[in-house]
Amino acid sequence: MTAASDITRLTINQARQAIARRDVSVGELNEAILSKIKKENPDLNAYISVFEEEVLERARHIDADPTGQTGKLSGIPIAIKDTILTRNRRTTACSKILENFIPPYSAHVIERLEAEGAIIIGKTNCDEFAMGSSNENSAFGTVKNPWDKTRIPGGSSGGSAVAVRADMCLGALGTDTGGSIRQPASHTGCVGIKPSYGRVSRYGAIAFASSLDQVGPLAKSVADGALLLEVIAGKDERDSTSVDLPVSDYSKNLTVSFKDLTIGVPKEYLSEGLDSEIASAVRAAIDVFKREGARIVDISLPHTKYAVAVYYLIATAEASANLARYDGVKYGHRARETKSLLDMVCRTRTDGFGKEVKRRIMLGTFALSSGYYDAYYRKAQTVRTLMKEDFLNAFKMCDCIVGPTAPTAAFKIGEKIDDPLQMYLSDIYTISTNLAGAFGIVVPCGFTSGGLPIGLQIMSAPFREETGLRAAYSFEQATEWHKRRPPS
Amino acid sequence: MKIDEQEVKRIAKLARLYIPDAEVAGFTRQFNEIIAYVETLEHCGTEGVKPTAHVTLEVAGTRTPMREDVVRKSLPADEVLKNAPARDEVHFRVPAIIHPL
Repeated sequence: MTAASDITRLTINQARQAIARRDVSVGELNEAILSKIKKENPDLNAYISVFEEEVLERARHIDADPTGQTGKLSGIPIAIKDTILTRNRRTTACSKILENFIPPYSAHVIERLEAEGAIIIGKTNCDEFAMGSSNENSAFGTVKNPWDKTRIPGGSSGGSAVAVRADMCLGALGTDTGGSIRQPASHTGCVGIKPSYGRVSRYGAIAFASSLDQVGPLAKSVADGALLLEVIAGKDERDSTSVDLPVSDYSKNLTVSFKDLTIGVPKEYLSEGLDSEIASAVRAAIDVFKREGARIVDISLPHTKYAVAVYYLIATAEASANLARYDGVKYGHRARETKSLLDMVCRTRTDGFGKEVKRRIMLGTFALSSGYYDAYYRKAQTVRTLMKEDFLNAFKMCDCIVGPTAPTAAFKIGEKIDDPLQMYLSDIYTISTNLAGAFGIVVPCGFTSGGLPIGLQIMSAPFREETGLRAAYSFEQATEWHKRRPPS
Repeated sequence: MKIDEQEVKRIAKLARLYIPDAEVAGFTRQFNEIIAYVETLEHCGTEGVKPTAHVTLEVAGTRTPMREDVVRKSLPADEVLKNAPARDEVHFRVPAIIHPL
């Protein structure tokens, strides 16, 4: 197969057009994707489960009645992070504690995708319970970065990012609590979107930190990401934090338009701790906006220095509460030959959870416990209010805040795993977005001298996703970075 | 503030986790490093600032969403029990909670 005829390289929009023109059938497309997975996945380890039989069955069904399939994603193969429930299809959260769990219901976002005709190809690898920034914390092994297989792809949605970038699907869903969609998108050179908090229902998304989690798309282009967002966004009665605001046609409303855009550059983001090649790429990206007619203003997010501390208190506290349900009683792993109910619960959790998950549960339990609650958890919640105000004030002065996604490009496998605090500090640019509930999107904006992708992060105010999407789309169309592919 | 190994064991009990004796020292050290880091929040003035629980609350609406108190269809018992480590027809089976005297 030549590069030109490799249909796995298509974007969602290109595939939809090709299917509509009858240039390719849904069966051919999905078979090609399944072949690509068989070829690449043994090495890259992006997928935990692949639903081959079911995929081919659905593809046959769609091809048999092409006029009846009017969904926006009809026949399109999508990969799903394994922290999102898929009915009757194994969902593990990449943990031993849910190794054989078969959900009796699907997440809201899965129902939306399937209602538009999408085909769920399989479940992707991730950091266990979405806790990590490198995909090294999975019970199913590390995922490799297709740009350099000795390096991490980012986390926690590493599997989804790699599945997209290595053409093992046409689009994917991930979850983002502190950067888990955006950072792997940056490290693998694809587009990643974290919706505003409350934009997308969390029903059926295995909870990590309920005030921070959002489900979002990873894709090969901004247009594809906008389409996936449009399909999954909207009010859901079953998630009481989901917001009752109309969802626009994000994909139709994308335009290239720099002239009425004001870009804010936070002075705290382009300072020490940032790798010089990343800083150069981000500055060059800001120059693109300027050259094309956007206004650039300096802004300040003064509480940035507290972001990691606030995040690692709030997220771990909420995680300790959310993971209390994994006790071996109703589902999942249960330890055998235990001495009492209490012993059963403790043994189950100790054996079933990995190191990082246990560390965060401990930290969260500490922060919420009597005697510590006010000084740690409550204090973090008040600083969060100040951070949210920083953002609301900044968005009065600009339409979008632009900056780096991560302080370095993809690091080597094993490089940071023994120093949890170092790993946490690498989340600095993405966690503030979750703490403020804002919209964030990452697009490719360059490469290091070693050939590793660099992603530009663009944020807009909560529920102003159209502004962020427009800025991202404009930048993408004005540059060539997104066209570069990993070495085969 | 520094947490000692006793305190780590107490927190582990609250979290329903066992930390093997061989790992307690190492874990306590890492734990204290992280706690020292998060204590930098002490330098941030928060007098009179309210805590944030739901970050987009003003948009979502400040009243807890309610629904009519009517019976709705939910999962059949068999579906719910499918993943049970131990079950009988309609129950999850667990080790005894209350023991005979």
